[in-house]
Amino acid sequence: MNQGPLIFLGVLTTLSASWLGLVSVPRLQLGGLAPHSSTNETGLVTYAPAERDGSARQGADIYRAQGCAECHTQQVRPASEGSDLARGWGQRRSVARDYVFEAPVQLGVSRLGPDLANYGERLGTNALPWIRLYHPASLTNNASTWCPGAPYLFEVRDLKWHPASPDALVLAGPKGPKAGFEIVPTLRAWQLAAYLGSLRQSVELPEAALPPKTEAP
Amino acid sequence: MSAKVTHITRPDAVDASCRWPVLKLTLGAMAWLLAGLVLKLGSGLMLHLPALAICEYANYGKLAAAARVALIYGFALPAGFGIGIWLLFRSADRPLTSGLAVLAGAVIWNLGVAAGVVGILFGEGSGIVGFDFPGYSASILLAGYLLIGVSVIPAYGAGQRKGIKLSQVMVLAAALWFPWLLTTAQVLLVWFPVRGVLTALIGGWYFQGLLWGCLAPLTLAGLLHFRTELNGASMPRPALAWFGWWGLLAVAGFVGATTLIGGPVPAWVASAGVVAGVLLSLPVILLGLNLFSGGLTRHAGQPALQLATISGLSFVVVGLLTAATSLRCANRILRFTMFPAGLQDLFLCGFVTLGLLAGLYVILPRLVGFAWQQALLTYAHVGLSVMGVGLMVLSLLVGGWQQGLRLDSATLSVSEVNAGLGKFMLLHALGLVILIGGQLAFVAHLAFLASRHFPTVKEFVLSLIREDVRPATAWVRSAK
Repeated sequence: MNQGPLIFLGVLTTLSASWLGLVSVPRLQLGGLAPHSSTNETGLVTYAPAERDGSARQGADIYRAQGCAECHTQQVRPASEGSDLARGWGQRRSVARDYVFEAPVQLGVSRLGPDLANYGERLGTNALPWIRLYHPASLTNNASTWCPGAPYLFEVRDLKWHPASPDALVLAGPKGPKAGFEIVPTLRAWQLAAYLGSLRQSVELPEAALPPKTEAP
Repeated sequence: MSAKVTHITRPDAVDASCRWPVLKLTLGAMAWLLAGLVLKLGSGLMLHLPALAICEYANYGKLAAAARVALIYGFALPAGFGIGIWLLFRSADRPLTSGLAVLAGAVIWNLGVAAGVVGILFGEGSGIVGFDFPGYSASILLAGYLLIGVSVIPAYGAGQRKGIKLSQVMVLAAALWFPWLLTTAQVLLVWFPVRGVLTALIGGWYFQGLLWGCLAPLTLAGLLHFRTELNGASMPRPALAWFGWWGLLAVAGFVGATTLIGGPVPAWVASAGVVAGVLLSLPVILLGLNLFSGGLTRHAGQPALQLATISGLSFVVVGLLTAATSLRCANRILRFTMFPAGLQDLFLCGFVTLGLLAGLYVILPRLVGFAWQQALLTYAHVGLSVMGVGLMVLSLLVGGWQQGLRLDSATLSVSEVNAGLGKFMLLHALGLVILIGGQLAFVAHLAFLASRHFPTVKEFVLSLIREDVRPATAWVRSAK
């Protein structure tokens, strides 16, 4: 008996089942997911998550191209699944809606470095992560880090030919600039910093409530 | 050590028809295996010596992704397809009539892999694990594969009238799964890219489908075929083996969900991952029983059987550990540690690489007509390969386990967690060096044979080209 058609059908069925289960049904469920909109007292409509600006989007490309996701995740798991919340990596668990503007999403492979889902929150509004990008081991609390940094995103400039930049890195020691020189971030470093600063998942969503604020005694 | 020249029987029509296409696929794969292992070693060194990462084109993230592409797409898939093609036509006892198309497909495929690796190093990687290469590279790979698959499957199917063996079904299933997986990923991740966590879902479905639905069947097909052929022992429980096989195929596509347990996906996806992971243990046990009972280890003095034994053992262990780590209690600890990387090494280097190398020990002498002659190089290859893989896998599994326990304690910073991991990563790098040494012994053996037999090879080329032309031109005529 020629078993070819039967085998072909079996192979087709098994693959179709997983294709339906992990590709088609999730597309139906999540394909139309949109940012959550809310209106405040003044009538202003806000969306969460907010779409990134152009500079941060270009920074996302740099993050992907450098393979940062091999060592950094961008997902906060619920308390039952890990110590992420206890570590202060986020106020609530991450949900699918947090990533509606991500293409491709960078959920991450391992945690040789800390989770970055809320790095923007930790960084604050005005701070910039220059030393962390240029030479992370120079940070006092980070001496044994495995992160190599990205010195190629910075430029060493001769102060004879350039006026001193207000953005120059304040870095002493062997990694600091030689006398008469300064290290300044390039445009790509600014873009990557804009992306890292935009990593925030602290807005309450219908499916992910923030913990109740505890009042000071 | 004797270097006596020993000719084995002259290849028959089937071996002669497969010679150049399969040699192109498998020897090209060996080059990529070495390149992939060196890239992997490079990525490991970057982790230990961050000061090395002064060059944008060679940091840890890029080298790790490039190594993955070189090992999976450069080595495992072409070597698996090469051995699979030989196995299909050897079992059917018919010559391959589309050798030229396979040769052309193999050349295009290798170009696609090269474009992928270079593209990743230049920052054009997709950022999706397992589908790491740029979109254009995926298109080239698909074109190369279609040339191989479209020419081989109909040529094989048209003449197949005898009862089909399990090993043949495994090769055919992998050959049908691969284009579907690659095309879906290409459409939804490159041409019309989806957004958000759908990327991770489709990426996970693709990558785990590729591992368990393509690479596992291709390797298992060789193990089952050579086990029967070298030992002369038939499959002890064929019904269970068939059941295990269909079970593996049914679960393989869902294993991708295990990579998203605890992640930002609907709860049912995570539950599906847990169920798929646990169910995976059943086919793995059934196929393992058929591999080992009745003697994969009999006549264990042969290098092919030694490698096949370790490969089969790796398959069972990686299947059971994947099942165990998909349980939520284990996933909580081990997810995002080096433990999954250890499992991936066990799958790719222990199971797939050693299994395919076992196949090469059997088929290369038949294709070229020379027996392996340097026992020392063979011992070195087998011994160093097994030792290297063992060290790599154990260091990551133990190190990953400890890393997971430390990460689970919120009082330790990530730097403090990593401080305990360093020695394990050094052992992993040492294992890689040993594994590379083993492959260099294999390549040296091949080079020795080529140099020793150069006049004979020359005669062979002349005579075999004449032999090959006949079936090739027959295929061209039938295509017209």
